[in-house]
Amino acid sequence: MRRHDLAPGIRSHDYGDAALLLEMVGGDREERWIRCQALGQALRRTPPLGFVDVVASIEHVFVAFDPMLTEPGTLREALIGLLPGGAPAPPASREFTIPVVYGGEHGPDLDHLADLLGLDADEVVASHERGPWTLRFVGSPAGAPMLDGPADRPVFERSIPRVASPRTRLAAGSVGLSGSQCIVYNAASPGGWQIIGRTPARLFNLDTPPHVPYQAGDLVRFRAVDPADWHSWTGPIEASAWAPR
Amino acid sequence: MKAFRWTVERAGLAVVQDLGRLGQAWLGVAVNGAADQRSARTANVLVGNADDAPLLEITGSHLVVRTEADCLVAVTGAVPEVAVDTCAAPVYQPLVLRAGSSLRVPSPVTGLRSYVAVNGGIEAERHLGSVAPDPLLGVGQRLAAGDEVRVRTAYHSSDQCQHFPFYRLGTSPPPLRAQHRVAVLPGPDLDRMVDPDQLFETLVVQPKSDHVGLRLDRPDAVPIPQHDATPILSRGVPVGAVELPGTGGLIVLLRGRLLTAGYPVVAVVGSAHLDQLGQARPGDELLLSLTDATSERAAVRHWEDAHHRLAQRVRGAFTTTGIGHLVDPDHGQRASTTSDELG
Repeated sequence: MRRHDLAPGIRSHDYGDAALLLEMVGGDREERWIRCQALGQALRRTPPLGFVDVVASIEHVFVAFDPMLTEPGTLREALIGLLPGGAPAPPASREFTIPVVYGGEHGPDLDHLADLLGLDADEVVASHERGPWTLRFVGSPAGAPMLDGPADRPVFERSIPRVASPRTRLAAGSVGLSGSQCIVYNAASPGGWQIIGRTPARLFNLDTPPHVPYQAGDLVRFRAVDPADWHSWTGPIEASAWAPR
Repeated sequence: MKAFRWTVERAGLAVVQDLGRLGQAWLGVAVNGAADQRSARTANVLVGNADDAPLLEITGSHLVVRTEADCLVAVTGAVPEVAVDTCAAPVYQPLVLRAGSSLRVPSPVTGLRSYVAVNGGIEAERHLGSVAPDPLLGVGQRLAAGDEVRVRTAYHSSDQCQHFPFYRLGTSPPPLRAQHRVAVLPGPDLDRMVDPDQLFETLVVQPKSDHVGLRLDRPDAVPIPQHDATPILSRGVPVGAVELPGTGGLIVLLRGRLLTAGYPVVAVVGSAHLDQLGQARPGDELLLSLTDATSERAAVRHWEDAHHRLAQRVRGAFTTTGIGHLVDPDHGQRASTTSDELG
């Protein structure tokens, strides 16, 4: 696969004939993520000719293009032009709290995961609530928040394995854990992550921009709520504060 | 423009469809849209529409609709012919449906998907700029017997083309087979395969395939050894990414998938070969072969040039026969988006 060094610390791989996969290398993981997000924002603000779409995740930026309008060499030049002069600033962040009903029918993997981690279920819940979780990027399904802890301080000490048998349909709002990451499945979808709870909150709004209230860089905490109070928590969530980084 | 309805008399798996939602990946929304984009675009060009006008997509089943008003339609994709009332009618040509008549699109024997376009387009709810079904967003219109499909058209019963086949537009369906030769480029994780030649063995499409991915098994089901089994961090993937799930088979990610499922991407289907995948039936065989970006781009350009020339012939034929007014200003290309979501 064709590989080019776009700039110090950024490698570009041709990804099929209509996409590039940019990989951030060097520095620490936090810096690589900040650079991914900065490039993703720059692409959306000033899309080069032939640009179709971008997914800026934790260490990679996926860029889809129209092969009739541009080609990898031209696009790489345009990307170099979009790179910030110095180290990009971390994204501004707000704080959100997501209500969760933990365990029981809403969190079928909580007890098993607690055993695996050598903890009580209550300790797993407390750690999960506290986080802190950083929203690394907005992913799938339907604007799902893709979260993890600080690189040097994962929320759970051990990397969390996927479930043995991926489920074909998780309830919308399911809260999943895998590796050092946490996801909220904003739509009913298949999934292989450990499900410890479910949020009644509606995080994705199909018809009203910006569709999700959060963005990469925001801080997320969780809060255990009583299943009997489910209907009190079914609205959208709002930022509770601006958090200095 | 007049608004009228089609009544669905019989339907299997038929949906209102368009080319999908582009530019929404930052929001975690997959592109979706017609599984065989070329057949959908051709159907729309044949009736004078922009390429991305809403139309019907029928998967592995038959459809009968009855129109209450005269309209101009075209059917493309998997079936060799259709019927208007009891008369056989050609595919890949514009057809006049007279008020009260029915269009019957049979179930395909080879290939999987057919497309029915109507001049003016189908009217359906748009979400994030598109009518394309997306089960994750919970949107899309699937047809059932008794449903009414809303249609808009500029076609009028006094327009000239009363008889069909009225045009000889030089289009013919691409050949469909039960064995698909699919060109791929090497993927970022190809070096995880101990024996990359395993990628080029015969693959068989499994029934569990859907718009998210084609599940492919290898008949001898010997596991595919990998150098490294660590899961891949979530990141964007292109349509056509070939993943190794570790079960001995392969998954080709299609238009319903946005991020990796955590498996290595060992190859990517060339963009000129993606639409074939939309015609692959369970039981069909796939043979992957390596290509390069230059050849693939040449193949894309070749098809786009032919599509452009077809659009010109349609415009010429319509104008000559007094129905030039049916041609959309964006005929032969995607309509410029009016959604303020994009960019």
